[in-house]
Amino acid sequence: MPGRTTAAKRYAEAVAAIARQESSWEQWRRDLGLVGEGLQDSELRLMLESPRVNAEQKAALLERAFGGRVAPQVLSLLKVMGKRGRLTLAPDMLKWFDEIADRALGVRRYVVTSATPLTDEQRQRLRSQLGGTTGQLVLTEHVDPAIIGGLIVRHDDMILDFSIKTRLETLRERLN
Amino acid sequence: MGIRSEDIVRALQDQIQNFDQQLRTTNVGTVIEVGDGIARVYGLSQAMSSELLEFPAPGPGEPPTMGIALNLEEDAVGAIILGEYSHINEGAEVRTTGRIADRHLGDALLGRVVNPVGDPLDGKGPIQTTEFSPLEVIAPGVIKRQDVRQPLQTGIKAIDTMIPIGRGQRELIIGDRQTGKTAIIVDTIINQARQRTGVVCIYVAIGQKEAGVAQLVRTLEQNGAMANSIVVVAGASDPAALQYMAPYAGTAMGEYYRDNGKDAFIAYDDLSKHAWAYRQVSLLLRRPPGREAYPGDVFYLHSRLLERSAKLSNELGGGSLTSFPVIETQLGDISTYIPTNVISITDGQIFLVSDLFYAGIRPAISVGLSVSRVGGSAQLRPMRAVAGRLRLDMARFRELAAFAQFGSDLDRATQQQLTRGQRLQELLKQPQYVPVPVEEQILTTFAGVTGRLDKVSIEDVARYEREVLQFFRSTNAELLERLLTERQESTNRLNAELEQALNAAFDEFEQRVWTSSGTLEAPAAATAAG
Repeated sequence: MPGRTTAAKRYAEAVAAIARQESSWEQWRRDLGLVGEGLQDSELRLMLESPRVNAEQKAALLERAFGGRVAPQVLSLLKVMGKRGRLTLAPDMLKWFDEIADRALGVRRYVVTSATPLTDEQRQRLRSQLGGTTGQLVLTEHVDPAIIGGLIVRHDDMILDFSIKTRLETLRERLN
Repeated sequence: MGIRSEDIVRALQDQIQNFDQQLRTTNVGTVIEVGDGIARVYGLSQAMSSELLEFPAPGPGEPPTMGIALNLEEDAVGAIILGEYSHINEGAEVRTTGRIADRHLGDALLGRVVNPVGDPLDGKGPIQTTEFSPLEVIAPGVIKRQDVRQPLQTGIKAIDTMIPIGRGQRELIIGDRQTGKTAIIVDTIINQARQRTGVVCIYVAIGQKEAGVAQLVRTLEQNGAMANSIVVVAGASDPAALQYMAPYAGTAMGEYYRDNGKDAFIAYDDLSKHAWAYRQVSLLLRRPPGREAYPGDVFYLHSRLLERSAKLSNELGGGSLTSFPVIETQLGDISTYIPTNVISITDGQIFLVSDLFYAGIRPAISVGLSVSRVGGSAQLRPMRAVAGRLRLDMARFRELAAFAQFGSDLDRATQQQLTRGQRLQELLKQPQYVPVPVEEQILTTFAGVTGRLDKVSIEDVARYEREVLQFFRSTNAELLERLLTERQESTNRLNAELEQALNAAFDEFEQRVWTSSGTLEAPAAATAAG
């Protein structure tokens, strides 16, 4: 699996520009979600990524797989990518698009790791602490007893580490 | 000293109580590509240039593997991994540390062998230091410096007399493989120990055979020179990232002494391999290749390193860092990319030639191509007065020697110069690990340039030198002392009175000691004796 390539980002930005113009974020998101699921199919992926299958055949294949289920523009996007031999970037592009859409719609995603499952009250308090009055706040929760206690909150590439484990480690370093 | 237990308890209490106040926010990223000691990390949007990064630890309970951010790109960071990287895989989490790559400093490092990260390699236990300094620092500016004015004695006759080195100078040692480049460094380090100059020596081995480095460390230990030295090793099997860092790490250690008003000496052995390591790292990080596939900043790579060698002004303590970068050439070609770069950066070069080496002239220094651009003003005055003529005589001799090979009839003056040159060449030969104190160098050079050796057969020059030194040490020690301390009236002549005294002593030696062994003009007897 390739990582985050810049080329994929450019496609995602182009799609996002269209979505912004037409205010059709939700539709794009749903359709691209479907495409993402469709591409899980390894046979389809193999066909689409194979250099032995020519562009027309790929277009027809895409039509058969997604035609009618997604908006015509989505199909056009896939065909453009197919024509340029960039279909391998599709999963990457979806990731980028999600990120751009989140930013445009004001969705903030947090991943919270705690030692024991959060109670409803804790969840409420955390939400209000994270200050989500505007936009949406999406919390993903993980339970990891290894952190002993406290919380680790992750947002994009920032981590707020309140875990007992890290604090103990830092204390040990300091006392050495 | 007596530290009371209550104090310890109070200090701990303080630390624990104040501990909670700091909140830890960390910037994280995920590895998207890893291999050849390089990782590309997605995220890390807050990473600083050359910030230390924390990769996952190789196993539970082990310290995390560290890396350094080198390329800061739009969405990703290119980083070098310091050490083993086989346990790091795609998707691994990387954290910033908020620390710029730095090094331990201080006296605890003396006598130790460490890798560029500062971990001991000699099995003598952990190194306890409290001071740190960034790996890369900007070299001192114009105001903070002063001219080189104190000599750094290498103990090698050919260098101290003809290519003098001053403290704070950068002198390139260049030559093919197996021409004695490292030997010059080792002798210089040993001389610092023998003469108790107090100069701290740092030897940085880059991309060398570990066996060779072990041998060198043993040599230094046997000669009692290790106690005042630090050896930084990034061997041939270490990742290119470590080899790239090694000279900067060594320099940071040297700067500690320079900035504290002391003198330090550092040798980078060698910078050709350093350039290779940097080329590898750069290409893996996908930086655009230039000439010979070196990246565009390969000149800056070495110039910023060597600029850190300096003689600081008196207000800043007057400390110094002298450096001997080494460059290995291929077939004596000094006009390729890296050699020309480093030649233009340094304050002179010592050029070693394999032809001379195999002709038995060791150290195999090519007098014509070697130069010290600033060291002359740092040379001791008496040495300068005596050795000025040596360089001239040697240059003339080299010129004539080429002609003389045709074997045609030579006039008296030419023959005279050839005789002189051969003796001087003999005088400048020197075995390894026997550095000569500077006053003794002045003395024998004086004998050479004043023509006293002309009467001695070539085979006898070494013995003459040995015996004359013995004679002076036992009967004329105060004259030797004067050679070090005498204030000179002119730069190109010894004071008349001192010269007279020397001549008188030499005459006495030749009449009493040398002639009595009966070999002054009899080569046959000399072979029997020697």
